[in-house]
Amino acid sequence: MSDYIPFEIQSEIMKRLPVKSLVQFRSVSKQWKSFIDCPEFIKTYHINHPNPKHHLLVRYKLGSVRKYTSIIDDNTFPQQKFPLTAPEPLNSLRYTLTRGSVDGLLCYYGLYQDVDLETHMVVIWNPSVRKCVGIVIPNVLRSKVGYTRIGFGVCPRTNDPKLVKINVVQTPSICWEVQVFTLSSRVWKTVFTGAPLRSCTLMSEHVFVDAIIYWSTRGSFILSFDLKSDKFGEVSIPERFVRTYGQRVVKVNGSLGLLEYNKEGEMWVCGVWMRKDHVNNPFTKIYTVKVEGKSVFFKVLGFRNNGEVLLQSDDDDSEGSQIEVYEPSSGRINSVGISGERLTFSAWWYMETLLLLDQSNSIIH
Amino acid sequence: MSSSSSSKMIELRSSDGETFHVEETVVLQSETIKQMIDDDCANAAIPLPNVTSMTLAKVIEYIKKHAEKPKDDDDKKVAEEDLKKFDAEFVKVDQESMLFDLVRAANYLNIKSLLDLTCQAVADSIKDLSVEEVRKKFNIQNDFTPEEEAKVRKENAWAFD
Repeated sequence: MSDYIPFEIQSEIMKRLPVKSLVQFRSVSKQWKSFIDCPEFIKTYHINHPNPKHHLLVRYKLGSVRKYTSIIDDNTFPQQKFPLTAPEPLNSLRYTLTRGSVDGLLCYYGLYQDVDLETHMVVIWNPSVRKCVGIVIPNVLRSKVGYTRIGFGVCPRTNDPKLVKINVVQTPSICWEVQVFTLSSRVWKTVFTGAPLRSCTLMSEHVFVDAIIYWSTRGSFILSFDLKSDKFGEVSIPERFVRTYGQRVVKVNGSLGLLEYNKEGEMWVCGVWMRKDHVNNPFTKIYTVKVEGKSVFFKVLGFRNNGEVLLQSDDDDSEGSQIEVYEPSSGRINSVGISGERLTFSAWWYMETLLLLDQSNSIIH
Repeated sequence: MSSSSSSKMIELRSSDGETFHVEETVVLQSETIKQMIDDDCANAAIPLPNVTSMTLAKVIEYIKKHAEKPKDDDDKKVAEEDLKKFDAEFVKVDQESMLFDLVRAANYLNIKSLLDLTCQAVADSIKDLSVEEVRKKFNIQNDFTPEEEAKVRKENAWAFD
């Protein structure tokens, strides 16, 4: 016998369901649908869920075909894998680079052929709800004039996806034009025009940690942009990172980190540095990734939720690469069981959220 | 009556008239009962007309376990593990109606940790069910027209594969 459960309790139960069940259960009744579709619930589901599911999204090429495989990142890792199909417009994006993963949203940047016009586009994809939104990036600088850098984050107060565009104009004098785009407003707003605090060459790689986007630079600092105040700042880095081309900003154990590739004899190693407790602490090296017995290059792709390192390592004798997981304390390496073409891998960690559930797959011009 | 507050006993009466004696410190985990005691309504047995004796016995077993205080930090770790195991076993009930009774009791008595635990157990038990099975489980009337329902399903067809 099914007893009566008041809606108040039904909603408490809904808050604890995984995303896929919620998406199905929109069709239980009108009351369930309006509870799940409520913008406030969509924004806060992953914050209030006691135990949201975590995944790793591996993007690679196999036989010239682009593949996406999601692996559930729990104690069954890497047993539960499932393929994902990239929706439009992500599927049509060319020269695509993953530009970050925040609150279950993955951000891609590339070129899009829009009828007879080629445009630069960012695609924000939530693989958990199979929704994505393309955002055409206006006025992208190329060649001698300057260059454009794009940053991606989610505003912590509003859970609103946000893009930051920095146009670095190089002639006649260095000038920055900074615009932000929020998905809720769908417009670009200029927040800064003028000479930068300190001139630097901005790298395209960036990472989002605690409401702040960090870009690597070729200088002695990391550039930061606070999404709450729309203000720039600087983070000093150890001297040894200055002018090294291999430096890369990452998120390690929830904090800002840096990767440092080096050769020890014939062997490639990668130092993982971290700034503890987010504030003004210096960077310290927490461990070095060493792949014993391999002279070939490997690349740190990212980190599992439990801190294990995901590596792309090239096969010694073939044209392929595969993904392995490295356990920092023991140095043990295990295969994840995904192989593909060399240099085509990326892996990003994401959590299940409902963000974009209320959007339709579309392009914002 | 004892003057020591730590051993003060509170009498609870279930819907079917059975009485239970529980230490006040234990029973304070229920916000509802705490409010009654604060309002001085607990001089006689507290009537709980929405909770059967079978459910109340389970609830008391839960709050007694959760009231145990570890002696030191070492003990705390062991106790936390022990409590996790207890919680996992606690929601493994033979009858689903018992789980629903516990959810309702936790809601009525306002015991947050028990409501969290039991709601999660129900969520885990329904997450792989079909829409029709969920409706049946909660006695929910399907108020969509067939066309409306087809449209809602089509919006996220992938989830039904």
